Parts: sequence; C-alpha cells; structure tokens
Amino acid sequence: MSEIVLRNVCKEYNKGNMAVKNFNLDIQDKEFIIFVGPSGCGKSTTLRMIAGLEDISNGELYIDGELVNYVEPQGRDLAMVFQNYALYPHMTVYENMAFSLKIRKIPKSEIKKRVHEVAKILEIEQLLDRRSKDLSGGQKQRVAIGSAIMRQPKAFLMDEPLSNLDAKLRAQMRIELAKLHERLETTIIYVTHDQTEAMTLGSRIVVMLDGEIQQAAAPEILYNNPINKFVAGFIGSPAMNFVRMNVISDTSEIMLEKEGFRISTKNRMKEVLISDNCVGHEVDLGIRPENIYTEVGKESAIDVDLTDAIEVEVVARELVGAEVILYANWCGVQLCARVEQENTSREGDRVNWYLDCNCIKLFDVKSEQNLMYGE
Amino acid sequence: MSVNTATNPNGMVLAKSKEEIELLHQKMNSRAKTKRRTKTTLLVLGNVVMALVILLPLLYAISIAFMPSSELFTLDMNLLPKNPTLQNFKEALTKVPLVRFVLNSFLVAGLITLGQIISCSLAAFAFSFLEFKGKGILFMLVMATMMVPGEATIISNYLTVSSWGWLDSYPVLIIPYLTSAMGIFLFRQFYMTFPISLYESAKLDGCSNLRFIIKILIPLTKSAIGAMAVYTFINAWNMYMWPLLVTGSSEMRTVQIGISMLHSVDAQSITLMIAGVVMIIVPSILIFIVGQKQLIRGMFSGAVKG
Amino acid sequence: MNNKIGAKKRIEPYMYLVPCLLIFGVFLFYPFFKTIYLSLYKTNKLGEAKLFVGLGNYTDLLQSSSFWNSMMVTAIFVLIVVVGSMLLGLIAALLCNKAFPGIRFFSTAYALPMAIASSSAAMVFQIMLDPSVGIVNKILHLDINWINDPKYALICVAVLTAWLNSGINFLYFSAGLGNIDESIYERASVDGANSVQKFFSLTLPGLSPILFYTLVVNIIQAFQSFGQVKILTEGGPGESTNLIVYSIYRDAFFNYRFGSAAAQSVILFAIIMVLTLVMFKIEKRGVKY
Repeated sequence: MSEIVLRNVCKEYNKGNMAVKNFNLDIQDKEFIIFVGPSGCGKSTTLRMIAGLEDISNGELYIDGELVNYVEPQGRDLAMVFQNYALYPHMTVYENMAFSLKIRKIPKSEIKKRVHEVAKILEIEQLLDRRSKDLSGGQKQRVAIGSAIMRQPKAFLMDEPLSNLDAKLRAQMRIELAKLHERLETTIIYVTHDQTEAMTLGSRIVVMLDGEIQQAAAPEILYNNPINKFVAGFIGSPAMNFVRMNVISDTSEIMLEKEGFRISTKNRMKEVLISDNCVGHEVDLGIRPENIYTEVGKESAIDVDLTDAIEVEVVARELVGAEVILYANWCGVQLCARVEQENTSREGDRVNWYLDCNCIKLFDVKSEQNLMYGE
Repeated sequence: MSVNTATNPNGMVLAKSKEEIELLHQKMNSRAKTKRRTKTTLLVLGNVVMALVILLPLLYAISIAFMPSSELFTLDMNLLPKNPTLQNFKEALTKVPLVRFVLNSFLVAGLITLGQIISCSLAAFAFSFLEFKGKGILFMLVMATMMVPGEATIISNYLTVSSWGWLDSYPVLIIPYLTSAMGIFLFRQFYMTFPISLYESAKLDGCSNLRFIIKILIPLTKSAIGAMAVYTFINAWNMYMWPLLVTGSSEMRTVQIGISMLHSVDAQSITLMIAGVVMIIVPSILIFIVGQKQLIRGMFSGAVKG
Repeated sequence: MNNKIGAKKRIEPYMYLVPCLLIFGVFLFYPFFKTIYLSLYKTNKLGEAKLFVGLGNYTDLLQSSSFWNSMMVTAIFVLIVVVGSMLLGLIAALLCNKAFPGIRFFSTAYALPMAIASSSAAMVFQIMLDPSVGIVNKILHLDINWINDPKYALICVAVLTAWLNSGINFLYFSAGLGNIDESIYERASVDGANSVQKFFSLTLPGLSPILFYTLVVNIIQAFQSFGQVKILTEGGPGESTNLIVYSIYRDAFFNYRFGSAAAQSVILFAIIMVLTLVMFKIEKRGVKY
C-alpha cells in the first residue's frame, strides 16, 4: 500500500523564483507515474521534494495519508535511482547493493540472499565483486536499480535513470523497467525529458512546463486529447503540425480557411467554434504527422474522412525504417507527414496531401488551450 | 478527497484540518529555521576556534612586534600590546640590513620562479607534444629526481660550488633551483589535456614550436603557471638550508638567514627580532593570499584527482 | 622530406630539454653519485675523498649510538608530525566543507601556514615557548622549560612542524572532500543513512585515496625538516632533537666528517625512495578511484 498525495506543493528558490507551482497530484498504489517536460520545468525538483532532498516551500505531501513534509529522507522509506547513478565509488557492487540493508542492521545471511536474488533478476551476478567505478554505464545503471530494489520501499523514485545510456541500451532498459514494475508491484515515480520513454513506460503521465502541471493522464489520453498546444506538441514524435487558420462563416457553414484552402467543419468542431466565438478570428489547427495522407495513402484510407487536397512542396525526406517522414512547405508553413515506405515523393516535388478531419485539433491562439478538449 | 479519508492501519485519522496543517507548517518552519541557524552558528564557532588555534602563532607574533620590549617581560598575561609602538620595526631595520635581505630574496625568488616556469614549460612541451628517441627514459629520469631529497645531495653540492669558488654569490643561490620535476609534471599534466590536434593544426598553419609555446601554450596554461609561480616563489622565499650554507657575507644573505642574525643578538631584542620576522613573513603571506585561488586551481585540476 | 630538415627535426626536441637536464645533471645526478662515492671514503676538512673505506662509514654509523638515537628521534618526530598535521588539516577541511558566512577567510587561514618559512616560524615559537615570558606557559598556567627540557623539546619541534605542514594538508583534504560526489550523500539519505553513518561509510572512505597520498607526502616532508631544528634547539638538549637532516648538517659542517654525513644522506635517500616506491605501488593497485 503506498499512496502519495501532493497538495498545492510549491518550491520557491530565493524569493519569488518559483520552480514548482501548486502541484496537485494523487498517486495511486502501484502506479507507474511519469513526470515529463522540458529541462527546467520542475519535474526533478518535484521528485526531490517527494524524496525529501529538497524542502517543500508550501503545500503538503502525504505518503499513505501521513503528512511527511517534515520527515527526513531517511524516514520516508523510499528508494531512489539517480541520473548519474550515485554509486558509492569505493564499494564493490555487492557492498553497494547491501548498503541500505546493512545500515538497517539486517543479518548478513539475509542480505546475502537478497543481493543474490536481486542480482539474478538484473543479470548482474557476475559483477558482484567488481568495484563500481570499473563498470560500464549500462552496468552501473543495473546496479543502481538493483540497489534501489533491495528493499521493499513504499515507492521508487527515478530521476532520468536512462538519460546517460546510448540509444540501444536505453530501449532495452526501458523494456526491463516495464517488466520490473510488473514484478515489483510498487509505485514508481519516474522523471524524464524524453516523451518516448514517458509514453512507453507510464501508466499515467504528468506533463509539466514552467513548474506547473499541464496535464496528468494516461498516455493514450494525452495523445488523443491533449489539454493545450504545449502538450499536443510535446507528446508524439515527430511533433504535431500547427497551422494558423482563419475561421470564416459562409452561409450556414463554418469553415477553416488559409490561402484559399478551406475545411468545412461539422459536429463538435463546428459547435466549439461557434460557442467559443471564434468565427471571424484565427485558430491554430493541429494535425499529427500520422494523420496526413498522400495520394498513395489515400487509396487505402477507406473509412477516413479526408479534407480537400492541399498542395505542398516537399523539402526533405527521411527514411525511418518502415516509414518515411516527409517535410513539406505549405504556404510558408512547414508540415511533417509520416507516410508509408512506398511513397516516392522527393525533394522539390509538388504533391497533394490530405488531412484526416477527425484528427484535427483546434487551439485558441492566445490561451493555447485545446478548444476541443473533452473531459 | 482521498486525503481526508486516509487512515493508517491503527485506524487513527492522520489527515488534519486546514488550520491544523497551517499551524504545523508555521511550527515546523520556525523550527527548521532555528535548526539551520544553530547549525550555522555552531559551524562558525568551530571555525573561529580552529582559526584561532591555527593563527595563534601569527597573531601573537604581530602583537609582540608592536610591543615595547618592557611589556613582553612581565609575568602577566600580555596578549595585546598596551602601548603599541613602531619602534621595533625601526630598530630591526637599522640593526641589520633588512632591506638588502628583502631585495636579495626578491631577486633570488623571482629569478628562480621565472627560470622554473621557462625550463619546465619547455621540457613539458617536449614531453607532451614531440616524439623523439629516449622520451620515455628521459621522462622517467626526470620523475625519478622527485625521489632524491635536496638534503641528501646538499653536501656534495656544497663541495662542488665551493670548489668552483661560487660561494657567497647570487648564481649559487639561484642556478641550482632553476628547474623542478614537480613543475614539469604539473605542466605536462596540463598539456596532456589539450588535444594533439591543437598542436597539429598550429603546425599546419606554419607555426614554429617556439611560437606555439609562446602564443598558444602559455596563454592556455595561465592557471598552471600561476599556481607554479606562487608555489615556487614562496618556497624560494622560505629557503633556509642552502642559503645558510653558501652565503657568508650580509650582502648576499636572504631574508631567512638574515633574520636569524637578529636571533643571536641578545635577549632584550626579542621584540625587535619578531618585528623583523613579521616584516619578512608579510610578502610571502601576501603572495599566498593573492595567488591562493590560482594555486588551488592549478594544483588540483590535473595533478591530484581523487 | 629533405635531410637537413630531418636532422633538425631529430635534434630539436632535445633542445627543449637541455635547460632542465643540465640543471638536474649538475645539481642533482652528479652530486647524488658523488654523495654515494663520498660515503665510501674518509675525507679531509675540505671534503676531498682521501681514504677508501668501503662500507666503513656505514658500519661505523650502524654501531654508533648517536646515529641510532638520531634515527629513533626522527621516527618519533615523523610520527607526531604526520599524525598532528594530518589531523589539523582534516579537521580544518571538514569545518570548511559546507558553505557558511566567512568561509573564504577561514579557508585562507587554514592554508596559511604553508606560506610561512620554517625558520621564521621557529623564531616565533621560541618566544611562545619561552619559560618565563612565553604565552604557552601563561595560557596553560604551567612552568615548563619547553625547549631546554629533553622530554619536551622534540614534541615542541614536532608540533611546530605539524603546524607548518597542516596548511597544505588542508588543501589536499579540501580537494578530496570536493571530489566526493554530492549525489552519493543524497542516495544515502534516501537509503536511510544518518549523518554518522554517512561520515564513516562515505566521507572517510571517499577520502582514502587522498588520505594515503597525503600520508606519504607528509612522511617524506617530515623527514626533511631542518630549519626549525637549527633555530629552535640545534639538535639539543643532549641529542634529543638531533633529526637526521640536522645530524647530516652537523657531521659535515661542524665535525667535517663529510664521509659519514654522505653515508647518512644515502640512508635518508634510501628511506625516502622506498616510501615513494611503496606509494606508487599501492596507488597502482587501486586505492585510488
């Protein structure tokens, strides 16, 4: 049982410099929660406040219903994996892993058993006698995780644990972490700036910007129903395309217009545009690269409601395995589309693209809120 | 809200009302503040005590230097001079040619420092950027000199320079100290951090070796040179055994030897002697304080990595 | 490439080494071998080798109680100096490990002794230790003739030397403490360690590489003490502070027994070489991290 609740938690550095503002979150038992955001958004600070490594300037932090603001880190019964691993350099791997149990005066035989158990899970048994400074990055990572899971703490805190690994190892560790979470059945709070890591690992993702939570939701909700332009652009790779459009009304229809190209709106989109008084103003249209179709793709997209063609000029082409990412210029706006490998568009080609009407998002120009955000 | 209903296994309601929490915040914040303040106070207090212990000899020396001789010779506590006077300094300056000693020491220490920086950077340059036969052996040879304490060769050195008739001259004070293995090691350690491509691209631009050292290497190693200069100057200023052996006349004496002349005069002139000591400590302390940052950065950036 | 440039290129590197090799050759290697040579001879008053005695000077030394006394005194001295100066340096470094108002002043103060000459310091200590007017007796309400009592003279010289050497030790230890990664303390906090546990499991072991290096440097430095002995005690009273370097000095320049002094120099060199080699050996084995 471990439930972590943050109520209006703030972190203020020397007068007025707010690193974290009114952070509210209920973390359920066994959740794999991810704090994600660009650097400096306060995600690590929040994690460190939960760990007790930073004072909480304002607000309350509860672990299992108990107010722990003023409990020292050693009293919070958490385990943490640091970005730089923070292995004790003069100790062997075994001693590193045994440390947290040793200081709790757990019998040696018990520690030994536990170390070997954990080492087996992480496949680092052969490293136990090595000094931690002699390990490779990936090995250090495993030892750091191993040291953390030696105990059964109330929650694991992980501060960008994979950011120092190369791409291949990172992907591999990601899978292992997911497995580990299933096995441990304990809450994990995980900080990363990498949205791919967040999307693949998290059962819930907290997107942060400038010390504030933008949206906290399951990955698919974040992807399909982002609360604002920032979240929409941050989640998903390649990032969502944004195009500024005029909202015009033509007879009974409400249309989105740019340089003569028009998208007629209906249903919810239309309702929202009317109720938010957008007619006659501008909105930002958002469309994900995977929701743009080319002439080739259009054929197979039978049940998809597509817009009229927009004529774009391809400016770059990237082959990413089974897919092709095309970058194109449309009336001065760069668009990016993820298309199938058979597509033959090259740099300089003028081609027709189509947008999937049902996947279009609209954002307020000023507040950047998602106009179509649904609870 | 989950907080309001949260209970611990004993069934005790742990969540508190808003007012209670506000009160707790206030209490804990003031407690934390007190704790932090106490900690800082204790730390500063510990440091004050420690600094007094470390600085006691110096502070006491300064105090005596300003004391009239009569004040020193009492059985009462006399930590501070009751009637501070500059008389001791004046007398010390007239009793022995202290100015001459100081000039000698500046000349000797200055030239030794300059010489070491030049000879050490040249050697370190060769050891780090050039390839030549016997490089490894020569480097080992230079490093091996660190194992030979100066005191172990001082007799032979004395016999050598005296057979050359060099005794009691500036060269004998300076020349034996014009290079140092530690300096070569320190500079090499610094040069090794530069990519070899730095040297290669300079060569491609048609830069000669000497030009490379002067225009590129020396500006890049200012901190090492600073550290080396402070360290060498202070050591040369404080040199005792060698000048004691090789100087005879007061024209050639350095400060450390000169000041011990005051030592042997008579008991009544203790205050005068200490005034002299204070005067010769001042330059080395000033140089140390000014160069401390450089010294630390230079000494520990390459050489001692934990 | 033509030949002339090739030849120049081959010779040039050595040109940069000429100044330092010349000085080392004349004032270090030559006297080093000359010292060994002298140690095998009886000499006249001018230090000229007159009579080859083989290891005679050494066997004389090994049979001389004065030499053994000097070795003994040196050993005790080195022990006191090393323990004292390292403790002072360590305490000072620990006191300056966390930021607080005035830290720059204090860290300068702790490093300051390294800027002070042994001879100057000795003169100040002489007054401090004076039995009638000295501050030490006054503060401690004692009546001890520190420098002229064989029981205390060595301790006095050792304390003075420990004080002189503590400055550089402070710098070493500060650097060592600075090298300990802050995040391992954070991890230890989360792991549940209290400050005492952190000090003994992280700080001290984290300092161990530099502790060891400092230890050896201190031993070597202590062996070479001279100025303070010359000024404070001149080896006395009796021979209670006749440290090895002072003994060399006295044998050579008062007794004109250059051969015996040379033999003692060789022994001093041997001791220091062994210490240095041991250091490098242990360092390679990986006390360092």
